Amino acid sequence: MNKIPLSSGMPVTLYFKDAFTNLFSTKLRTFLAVLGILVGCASVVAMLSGGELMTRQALLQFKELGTNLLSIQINDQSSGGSSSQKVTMPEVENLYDVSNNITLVAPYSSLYLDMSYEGTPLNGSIIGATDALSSIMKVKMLKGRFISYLDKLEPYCIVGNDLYNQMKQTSYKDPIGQQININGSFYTIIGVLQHWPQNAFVFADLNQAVIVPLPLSLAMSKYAEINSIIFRLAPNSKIKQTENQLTTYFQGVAPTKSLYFQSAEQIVSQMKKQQQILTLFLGFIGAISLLVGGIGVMNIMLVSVTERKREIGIRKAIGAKARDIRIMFLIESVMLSVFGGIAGVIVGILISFIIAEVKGWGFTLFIWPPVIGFVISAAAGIFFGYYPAYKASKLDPIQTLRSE
Amino acid sequence: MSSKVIQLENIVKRYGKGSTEFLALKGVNLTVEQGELLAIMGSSGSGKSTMMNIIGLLDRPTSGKYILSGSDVVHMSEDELSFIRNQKIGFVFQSFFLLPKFSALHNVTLPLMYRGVSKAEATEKAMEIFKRMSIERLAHSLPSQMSGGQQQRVAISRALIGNPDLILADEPTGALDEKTSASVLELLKELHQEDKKTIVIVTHDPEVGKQCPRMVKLHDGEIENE
Repeated sequence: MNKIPLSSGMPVTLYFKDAFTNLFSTKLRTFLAVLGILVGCASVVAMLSGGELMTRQALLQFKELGTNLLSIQINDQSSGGSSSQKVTMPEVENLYDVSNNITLVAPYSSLYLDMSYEGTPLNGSIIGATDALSSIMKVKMLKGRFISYLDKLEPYCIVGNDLYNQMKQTSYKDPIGQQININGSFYTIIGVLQHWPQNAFVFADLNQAVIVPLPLSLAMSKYAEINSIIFRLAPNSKIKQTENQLTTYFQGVAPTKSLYFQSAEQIVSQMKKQQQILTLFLGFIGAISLLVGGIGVMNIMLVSVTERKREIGIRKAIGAKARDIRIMFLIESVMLSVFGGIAGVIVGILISFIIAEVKGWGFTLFIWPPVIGFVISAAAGIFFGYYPAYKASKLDPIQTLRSE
Repeated sequence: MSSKVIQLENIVKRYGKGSTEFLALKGVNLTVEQGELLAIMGSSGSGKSTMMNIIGLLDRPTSGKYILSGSDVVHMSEDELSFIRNQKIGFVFQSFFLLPKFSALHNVTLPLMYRGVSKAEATEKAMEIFKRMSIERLAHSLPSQMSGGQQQRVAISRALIGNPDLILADEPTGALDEKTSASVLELLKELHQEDKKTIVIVTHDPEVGKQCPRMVKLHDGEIENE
C-alpha cells in the first residue's frame, strides 16, 4: 500500500466556503452563537480598555507635576494637646539647608473660617500659601496674579475656579477687585485660578479654596499653623534619605509633631499596583462571559454535528478522512468565534469610548485589549469547537448514513 | 485483459455477542472481474446490506479476506479506507445522498476536492459528465430543486467523476418511479457496455436483477446460487 496523506488535499478556501454555506443556512443559530462570543469579547475589550484608560487618567496628574515630589503633613503627636508648638516660618526657610536634595519648599496652611461674598456665604477653605505652591503645583491663572513673596500681610486673596463660579452666580460684577469677608475682615480678590486638576498628592482642593499669603493666614486665627509642606526634590534624589533627614530636623525644632510623608513616586507605584489588580479583575469578568460564549459555540456545534450525521456519512463515503471532517467543523466554530471576535472588538472599543466620554477622560485606543480579546475569542472557538469536531470525525460511516 | 476487481474469500460478519449473536454473512465467496455488471439480489434480512457495506469498505468483515483491485483492505485503518473509497469506489445510493445545501456541481466535484484536484479541473470534468447525463442545466441547482431521477443522475455523476474501479449501487432505483427507474437502469447498463465500467448493483428487485448479465442471490447470509 502506498503512503496515504493524513488529510486530503482539499483547499482551505473551499473549507471556508462550505463553512459559510453551512453557517448561513442556519442563520438564527449562527447569529446567537456569534452574539455569545461578541458579548464575551466586547466585555473583555471594554473592561481592559476601561481599566487602562482609568490608569492612564490617574497617572496623568503626575505627568505634569513630575514624580520628584515629596509632601509632609505635620500633625500633633498627642491628640488634644492644645498648647503644642507650631512650626514657624524661619524653621521652614531653614529646610533648604536640611538636605541637598530639596530644591523648592512650599509650605501651606489650611483652615476653615466663615466667608461671605456680597452677603452670600461661601463654601470653601482658606489656604495660606507662598508663590512656591503655585510653581510646584503648576497652578494656572484665569485672571489676575498669584500670591507673591511681597504680599506678606497684605489683605489680598486668590479664589479657586469653583468658588469663582459660585461668586458669579451671586453677583454680575467681575469678582476681581471685589472683596471677600472672612471672619469680619475684608480681603481683596487679586486673582482667579483656572480649573485645577486635583491630585492625590495635595491634601486640599484648590478649586474650592480662597488663597491668602501664608504669613497673613497665620495671623488670621490662633488655630492657623503650617500643617503641610510640599518639596520639590532634585532629579534622582533618594527619597528615603530625604525623609530621614526631614524627620531628624523636625524632631529638633518641633518634637511634639509627627510627620506623615507622601511621595509622588510612592503614590504612582501604589496606583499602578491597584489599577493592575483592577484591570486583571475586570479582564477576569470579561473572560467569564467569553467562557459562556464559548460554551454556546460548543453547544451549537454539537447540535450541528448531530443534525448533520448524514452529511458526515456521505462525505466519509466519498473519501473524507477523519481529519477532513474535524477541520470542517473546526473551521465552522472558528468562523463563528472570529465573526463574534471582530464584532466584539468593535463593540468593546465603542463601549470604552463611551465610558471615556461619559467620565470625561481622554480616549486613547489601546492596542493590546482588542488583540487579547480577539485572540481569546479565536482560541475559544478552537477550544470549544474541538470536541464537537472530534466527535464528528469519529462517527461511523454506516451509522451516519442510516440516520435520518 | 481481464483482472479481478473484487475478491471476497470466506467473508463472515457477526453482530452481537453471546445469546444475541447473529451471523449476517456466513462465509461468502465472490469474485467480480473487471467490466462486469453484477446484481446482488436478496430479500431484506438476507445480508445484502451487510454485503454492500463490506464491499464498499464502509464496514469490516469479522473474518475473511477481501482484495479490492489488488489491495488487501481488511486490515486498513479508517483513513486508509477513506482513501481507497475515494480512489476506487463510486457510490450510488438508494436515496441519492446528495448534500442538500450545495449545488449539483459542488456535490459532484466533492470526491475530486478530497483528492486534491484543482477546482477548475474538477469543474471541467463534472461538466463533461453532466453533458453525458444530459443534466448540464442543473449544474447550479440545489438537490431540492430536482426530481428524483435528476438527483440520481447527479449522484451517478458523483460516482463516476473519480473514474473508480468499481461502481457500487445500493438499490439505485428503490426511490424512483417505474419510468425513471428504467432510465436510470439503462444509464447504468450503458456505462457497463460502452465505458466498460465494473458495476455492482445491490437490490431486492428481481426486475433489476434480470437485466444484469450476472446475478448472485443472497439468502440467509449465504450465496444461494450463481
